[in-house]
Amino acid sequence: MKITDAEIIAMMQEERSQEKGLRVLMDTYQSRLYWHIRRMIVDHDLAQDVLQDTFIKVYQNFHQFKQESKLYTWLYRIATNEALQQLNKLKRMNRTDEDPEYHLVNMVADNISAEADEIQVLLQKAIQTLPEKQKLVFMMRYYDDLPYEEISNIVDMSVGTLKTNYHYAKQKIETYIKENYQE
Amino acid sequence: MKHLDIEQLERKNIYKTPEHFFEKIQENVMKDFSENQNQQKPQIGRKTNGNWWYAASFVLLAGAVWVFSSLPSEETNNIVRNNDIQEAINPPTQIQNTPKPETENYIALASDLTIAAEAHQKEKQPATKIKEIPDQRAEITFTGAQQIEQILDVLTAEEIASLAQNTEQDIYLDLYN
Repeated sequence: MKITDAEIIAMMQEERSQEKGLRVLMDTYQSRLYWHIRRMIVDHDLAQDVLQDTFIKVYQNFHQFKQESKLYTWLYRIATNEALQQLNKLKRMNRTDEDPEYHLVNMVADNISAEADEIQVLLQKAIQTLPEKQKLVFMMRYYDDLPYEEISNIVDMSVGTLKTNYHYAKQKIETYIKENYQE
Repeated sequence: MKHLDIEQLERKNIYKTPEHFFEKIQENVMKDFSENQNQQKPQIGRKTNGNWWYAASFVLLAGAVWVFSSLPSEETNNIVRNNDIQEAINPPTQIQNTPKPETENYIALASDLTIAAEAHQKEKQPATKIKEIPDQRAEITFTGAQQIEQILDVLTAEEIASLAQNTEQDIYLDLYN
């Protein structure tokens, strides 16, 4: 039986059922949030830490959730902020002259499974070459199929800007794949 | 590759993941959740105890202030009462007091004047100052007549004559008081 967002919210708001509510919330959203974070950060251990911190922030700040947006929008927003913070940390810690995007592209090769198609690998590498916000918009639209209005709430950008960003991101990715694909 | 539309590609997660990692994440989150809950409970207890401590301290402090502020006033009252009794036993105007040699003449004169005035004002002011003191005092003090007799025994005839002049003056002054 599928539990609705309203039921999760009700459980999280009640002190007695908060633990159960948190478990249900994690069961429902952990996979989507993990992959959202993982595609941004690439490294599994870091993505795991970020997801863990996301859930901790969720239960600690659940009283601040005003239900003006959908639950998953709020969760995505927290996860995105946590992931961006982690990326900024990595950039600060990276003492080499290596370009951060280039570093992430290299990480993709180290993290892909053996069964992955070449085109899929190129797609992931191409995503890592995008500017941060463009990357976010593209991933939420392409992989999570979120409506532009919801993405607008998560990244604080207008729907028009989001559409433009998505269009440019798609063009860049396709160009990257064409240039690097070996037949 | 001439034609590529990424929208046509299958959405795949190609990254490697360890087994049961979601369980590990949930376990870590729930551990943090439990720790947080346990920390909050004693904190609430401590807060409550803290409030009790503050309340108890305040009550003790207020009590101490009240005791210390009330003690001196009681002592003062006791001292006043004791002074009243002392005055009653040894009134300042009593002749029984043995005056010091250097002030003897002055005290004698002052008391004489008072007594002389009383003698003339008997009808107006039958009670002496000593009589204003509560009953306790009245019992142990002398009456005006007795005092007069005692003083007159001590004084010479000349002294009595000069006092008689002062008496008139006292009455005169008294009229304007």
